[in-house]
Amino acid sequence: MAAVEAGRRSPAVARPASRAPAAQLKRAGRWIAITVIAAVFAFPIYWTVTMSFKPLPEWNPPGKVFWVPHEWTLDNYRSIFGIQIGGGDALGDILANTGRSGLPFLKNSIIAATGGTLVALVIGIFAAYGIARFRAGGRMLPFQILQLRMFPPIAIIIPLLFMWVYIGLWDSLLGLILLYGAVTFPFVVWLMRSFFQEVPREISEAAIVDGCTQWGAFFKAVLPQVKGGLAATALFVFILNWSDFLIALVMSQDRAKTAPVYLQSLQGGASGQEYGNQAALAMVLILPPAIFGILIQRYLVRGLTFGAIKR
Amino acid sequence: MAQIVLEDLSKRFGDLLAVGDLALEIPHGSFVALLGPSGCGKTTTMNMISGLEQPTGGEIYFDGQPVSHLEPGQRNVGFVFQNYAIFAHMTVYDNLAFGLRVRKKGPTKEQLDEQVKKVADTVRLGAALERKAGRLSVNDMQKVALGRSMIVEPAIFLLDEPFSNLDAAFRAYMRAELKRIQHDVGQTMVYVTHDQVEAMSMADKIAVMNLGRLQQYGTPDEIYNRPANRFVANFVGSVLINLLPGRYETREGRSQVVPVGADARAIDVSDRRAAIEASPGRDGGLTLGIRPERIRLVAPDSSDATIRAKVSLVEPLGAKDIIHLSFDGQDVRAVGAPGSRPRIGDDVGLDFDAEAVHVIDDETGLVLR
Amino acid sequence: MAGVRLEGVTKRFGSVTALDEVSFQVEDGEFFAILGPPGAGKTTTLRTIVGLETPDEGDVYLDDERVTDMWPGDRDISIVFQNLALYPDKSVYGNLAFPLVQQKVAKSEIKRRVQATAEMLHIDHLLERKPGKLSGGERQRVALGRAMVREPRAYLFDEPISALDALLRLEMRTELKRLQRDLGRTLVYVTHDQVEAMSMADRIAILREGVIQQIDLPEGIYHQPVNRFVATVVGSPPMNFIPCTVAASDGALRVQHPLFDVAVSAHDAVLRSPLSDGMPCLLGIRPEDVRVGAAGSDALPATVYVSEPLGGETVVDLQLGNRIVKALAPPTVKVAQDDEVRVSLDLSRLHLFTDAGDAVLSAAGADVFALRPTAR
Repeated sequence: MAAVEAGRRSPAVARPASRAPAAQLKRAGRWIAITVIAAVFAFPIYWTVTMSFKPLPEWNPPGKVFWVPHEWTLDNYRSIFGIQIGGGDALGDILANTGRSGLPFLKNSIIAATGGTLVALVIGIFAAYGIARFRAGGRMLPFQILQLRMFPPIAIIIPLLFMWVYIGLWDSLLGLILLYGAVTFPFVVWLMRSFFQEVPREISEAAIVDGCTQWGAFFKAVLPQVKGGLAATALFVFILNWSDFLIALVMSQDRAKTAPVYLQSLQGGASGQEYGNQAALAMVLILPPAIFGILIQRYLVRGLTFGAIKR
Repeated sequence: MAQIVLEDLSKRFGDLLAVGDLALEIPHGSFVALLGPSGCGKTTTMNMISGLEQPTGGEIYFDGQPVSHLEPGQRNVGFVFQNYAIFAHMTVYDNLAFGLRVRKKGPTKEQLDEQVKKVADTVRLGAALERKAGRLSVNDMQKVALGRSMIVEPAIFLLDEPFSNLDAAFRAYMRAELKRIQHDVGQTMVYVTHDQVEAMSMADKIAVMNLGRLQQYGTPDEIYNRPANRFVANFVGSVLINLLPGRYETREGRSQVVPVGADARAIDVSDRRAAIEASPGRDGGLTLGIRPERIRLVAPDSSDATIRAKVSLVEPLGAKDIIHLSFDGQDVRAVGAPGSRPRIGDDVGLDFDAEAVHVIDDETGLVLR
Repeated sequence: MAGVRLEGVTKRFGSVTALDEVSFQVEDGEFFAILGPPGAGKTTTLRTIVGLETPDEGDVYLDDERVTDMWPGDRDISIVFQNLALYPDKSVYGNLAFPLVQQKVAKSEIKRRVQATAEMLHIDHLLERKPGKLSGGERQRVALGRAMVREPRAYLFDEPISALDALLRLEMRTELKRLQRDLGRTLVYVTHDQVEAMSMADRIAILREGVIQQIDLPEGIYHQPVNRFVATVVGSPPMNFIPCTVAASDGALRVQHPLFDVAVSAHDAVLRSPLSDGMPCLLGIRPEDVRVGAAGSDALPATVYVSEPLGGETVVDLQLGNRIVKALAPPTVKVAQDDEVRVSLDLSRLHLFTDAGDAVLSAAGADVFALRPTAR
């Protein structure tokens, strides 16, 4: 096409040949690699999902592998929720109808994780705002708070155990809530601090000039702008608390036993490996964070403050 | 030195047309400004010339050779950005020498010395060679950045709003310096800016862009005094051009336009008769554009007055006053010398320089001539 | 409505003195601009007036009420921040209503006043939108509206239009000036743009490194700057400075330059000045007072260094002696690079400065300087 207009301009060299074949090959290779890597990560989830629908004979038969359940069943879920089963597979009945139920432990998990999250959020948000906006505690305070998370909880769990037993918080939900709050509040401080830092200082000042108190400016002008970050932080902390095993294992026995600890107790014992029931409970444990995550997905995306300031 | 030809150059980002069918010829050794508001496609155009972006249509030629397939490093172009890229911990000398030292076949010490000194003198940094670049003023840092690009003697110089971080006084100084440097060195320079003052004052030719399209390509004089359309007329000039609704009529064989409003005198436009009569706006869709400095303030009863208006606001700028007048509910701006400042509320006559009245068709936005 | 007064306000941040004994009085209903380069302390001044900063020394008064320790919300002053600081989660209506809600104004009254303010600023069609969905100019208006809606005693504007693009800035400039005149309320306007300050303000305070340099009418700032800094801050292109030498004899003062020689009439200011024989000094002249292509006995030879056409006028950079002097010429003057031209200086607009930059004498229209080209 350029040659037609040679009178006007005279491009002596033609456009280079297309590099398409090489590029396509590169693209294909990239997709194969991505698929393989994704499959490695997705497999455990796939295995848990299918296992939770397998009847007992398919759990771990010697010399055989069931890639998909042959006979789909909800018995594992019934067992977890303590629903009596009539008829059906004899061996499954024996396991399922033992009168056990995971419900009390799920309830404990919900209370402990939610309570711990609330404690961490309330303390953490105020700490974070103080640090972000007023440099409260000096330059080192944020790092000192983060330090709380730098050693493994196991290192202090034994002394804590004695303390909790002594003051009567051991094997109580309140005891777990306080511990969960203490362990996760550094995350709240660090996450929320960065969200607060993104809110221009002038916004809280504008509110103050408009007639708010310092508290009013925080609740009416600043907090609404970080609600996305708040939701993300809450979810993150909730997942940490929800999936805790170690603290609950040491700090509870009976009354305050949480679902993850119960999950572990489904293993071994007279009935052998209860893979199907474990998988069903695991599915129940996975669901809440997954659902919350989807619900607040739009808040997880940053950028709510866009438009607040000139760019 | 190089000639740049953009042939129907286009760039799409998804659905967004950043640059559409841009055809431009930038002659050897000329200073061309790409001027437009943010988002007009000027930086995208610059990035395609430099090779940082691939065009989605059309071709770029340097001296007749297509260059679209070349990497930025192979195009022999020099850049200066808004945020000067300099090495703060090095001396000015080392900054300038850097581009030559990293070459595979480095120059000898003497050659290097000579070239660095030459460039330093060109950018007026000859006395600061031993100073740490990070210690320089913002203004001098930008000169270092300029020198760094110059020393590798690129065929083409691309500058993307290089002065926008500088203070106003220094910007005025650098404008003159850059124009002089370009004249002395004689390289092809493409200068991207949203500041019409920079484009007008420095460039040999200005390409005015809006919404990805070329609006007009011409000398500063053409752009200012013979704008192609409403956008260009409105975009250049440090005092907003006046745009008043007008109507067209023929009387006694003469073509004339009259500003819509009480008691306005006709302006003879017989020289543009054909264009106006062929336009869709001839029956009530015309706008008259006149630059404020082409309006003369006269006595309200003067026979020279095209329109009569009331002074509503005076903005003193020191060297001149901008006088806002109210004419039939519209704001008309004129420029006055600070000595003879009218009082707010005064009635004055406004004499339009007929030659400087642009007749704009409302539908197409084009200036009819 | 109220006047604003600062008395000896000093503010330090650590070892940095942001404001150093700043005093000024803004009259009731006045448009008062504070002009200075970035970092001069302009924003700190505003923040002190509204109460977001507490001065280390000195006091702030509204009319004659001392408000230095009063909570910002109780001062009844509104501020437009440089970044606007709109509430992004609230609609335009919510933003405008917010100050009134805080003051517990009745709902119907809020509605009425928000509507009235929005109409005045031509944003009444945007009330339901969030700030993120507005253009730069519209956001600007919302910020102004939020400041105006509660009819405060004074407005403080911190570079409110500097981030807008050039065209919009021109429009907003005149609109703001009109608005302030119509409202008739005190406005303290901070800017680094001399055009904004000159064109809008009744009076201007020039601030540099926390120190007030001059407070004057725009004409005073322009034609009688107290020092080189002030002379450079206003005017575009800025004032030219030509280094010269003082020759004093018999009480008469002359200023010598290789190309010319200026006689200064005996004048109190000169007699009081520290200038003495042999001292270096500076002559200041604004570009529009340098005439290109002049004939006559006082014309000086110069070479065109660069010519910059701006459309309505042309900036001509002239090589005068070993200095570049900028001249502002009408577009009819056509000169090319390296042309030899003759120029003349408007002596009634000449300024004399000490070498340190303090003004000694500004002609300001008077006939105090006489120039004679040096014979060759």
